[in-house]
Amino acid sequence: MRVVFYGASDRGRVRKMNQDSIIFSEKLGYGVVADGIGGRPGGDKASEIVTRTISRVMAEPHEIRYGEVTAYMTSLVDKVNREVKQFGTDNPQWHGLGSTMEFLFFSGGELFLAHVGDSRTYMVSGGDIYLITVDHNVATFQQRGLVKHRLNSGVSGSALTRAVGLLPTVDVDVYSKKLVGGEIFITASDGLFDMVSDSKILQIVLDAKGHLEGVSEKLIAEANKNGGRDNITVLLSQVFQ
Amino acid sequence: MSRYLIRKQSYRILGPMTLQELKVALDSLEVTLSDEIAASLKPWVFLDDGQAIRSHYPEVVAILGRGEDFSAVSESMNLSVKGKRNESSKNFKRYPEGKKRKFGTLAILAVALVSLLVIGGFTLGYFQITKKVVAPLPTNKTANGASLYKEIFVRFGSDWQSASDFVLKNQTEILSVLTNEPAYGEKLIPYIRLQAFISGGGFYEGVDSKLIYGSHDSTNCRVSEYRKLWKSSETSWKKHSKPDAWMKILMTHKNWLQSRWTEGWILPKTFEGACLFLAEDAFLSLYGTEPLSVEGEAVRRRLSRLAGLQLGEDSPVNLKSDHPFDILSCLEDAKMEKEIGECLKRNKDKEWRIVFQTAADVNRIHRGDLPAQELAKYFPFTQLDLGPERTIASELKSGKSLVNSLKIAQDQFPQFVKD
Repeated sequence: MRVVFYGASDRGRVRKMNQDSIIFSEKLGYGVVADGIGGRPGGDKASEIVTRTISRVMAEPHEIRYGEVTAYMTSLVDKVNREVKQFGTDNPQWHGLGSTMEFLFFSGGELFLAHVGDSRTYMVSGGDIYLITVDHNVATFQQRGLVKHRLNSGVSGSALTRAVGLLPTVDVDVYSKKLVGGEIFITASDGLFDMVSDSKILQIVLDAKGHLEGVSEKLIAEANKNGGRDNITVLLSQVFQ
Repeated sequence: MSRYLIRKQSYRILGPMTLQELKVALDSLEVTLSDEIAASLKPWVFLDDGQAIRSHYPEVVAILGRGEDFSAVSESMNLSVKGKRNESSKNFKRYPEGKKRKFGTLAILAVALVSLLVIGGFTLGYFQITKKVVAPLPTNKTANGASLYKEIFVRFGSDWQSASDFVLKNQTEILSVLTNEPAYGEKLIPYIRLQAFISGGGFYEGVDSKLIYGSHDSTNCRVSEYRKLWKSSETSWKKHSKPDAWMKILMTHKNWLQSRWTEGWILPKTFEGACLFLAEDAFLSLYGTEPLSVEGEAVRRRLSRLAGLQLGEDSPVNLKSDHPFDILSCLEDAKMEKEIGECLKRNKDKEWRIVFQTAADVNRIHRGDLPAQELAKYFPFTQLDLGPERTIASELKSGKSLVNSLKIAQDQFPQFVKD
């Protein structure tokens, strides 16, 4: 089984800079999308540290046994979190920087997905699209009964409940799924799905009929056509038997 | 034909599957009511959320059991808790939320009557007391250790609930492998421990407790022992914010607990984590959901959180407000050794200092990068000679249990450990 990646990132139509980051390696079987938290200084730095740290660690020689991948990824995310936090400590002008993170690792016929924040990963299979991840924001947590205390009326539903770099430790969800040939995973920052509906995303991917070159760019173009109010980053992971 | 994804509480994704495949998965317990379901372009819904299932997935209702009656299905399958969802759990809930044991009058009379009959029977010699023999159950079925291990390992991955259920359901085959195929039997031991400590109260029928507990001193690590300890120390922890030494050790630094990932354990991750589960079982059997004092509730929250962390659950909000365990939150958040010192500076309780600083140091000793003489620099604010710390660290390193290590230190240095 092999995985081919296609990725692209764009500033959008409104934001002055691109605070998203993306990196992927077909040789090592991983991809990362990170969205620096806007409204705080250093969002671009935070997302860059996320992708750079993962890239650095994944390039180191190591052996991960089956059954330990989840623990390995959790440990790696802890490390990333510490590096972002430490950067904010060492550089007071960027104190409080943070980022979301979608870290996909394809290994042993499975996908392992470490997820923090409100970037998303979808799966396209058999003509259908499914959202795999749970958004770590106030609205979703309230809906799922996770927020125990009454919130002040001023708290936005889109406010993040988890992010990399904000706290000394980060709670990461690590998803896993056995892969089937033909599956396509769409990992994106909220600049995509806040501007483009899930059904439209599915239509654009299916129209490519399995040839995904340029599809990331088409999705970005669709988001920009609808306003492009945020940075847009898209990573497609196509699974071949 | 519609297809569905299933998202388990362990965040394992199954599918897409057809309705028929979903039915098969439900029947085999691969999918349970505590899992979520989603179809393309439709929302995720918990399978035990009757209203949402009827609204979004009416076609699924029929295969869930009794159609409209979701509460009956939930109870009969004993798989979910109505009314409260611990969605943050990455794995699963080990048991329904704090069931308080209640015995009606009729039940008490029934138990008394049976007891009288049994006692009478013994007196008249109708029964004989036989020594309980713990040995593998006889089986004619030949089990293939390789395929059994592969099935657990590959099929369930980190879906601990399903793995535990499988281990329970296939007891006969597993015991046969333990006896006839020791190499694969050894590979199955972590899964036996999983079932024993998650749902079995520390037991797995047919397997000696020495195998389940490994080389650890299991004297105190029993539900029955923890019940005695909880009851006998009620005055201290319920009222006076003064947990006894055994409780402090139980509630110790989560990073230390989690970092001691020992070979032969998967979940609980360590022997100490296993004891934590049994202590929680004991606590719930005694106090259930009974309202406790402020101090008592802090203990309950702390215990639940630590057990939940073993299961990979999310941390609840506002941990630092847990009274009287504020220092524990501080220590758990500390990543650098100097941060540990800062936490301890804020708390002048000598006993806590000894246990938790030592726990952090033991972690480093196990990693091999803390010479004993360096202990002193973490206590710039004390005049003590760190004798108790060195003793506890030394005893732990030699393999003694935490409780026994502290007892040895107490004997040697009574002035530093007692008020």
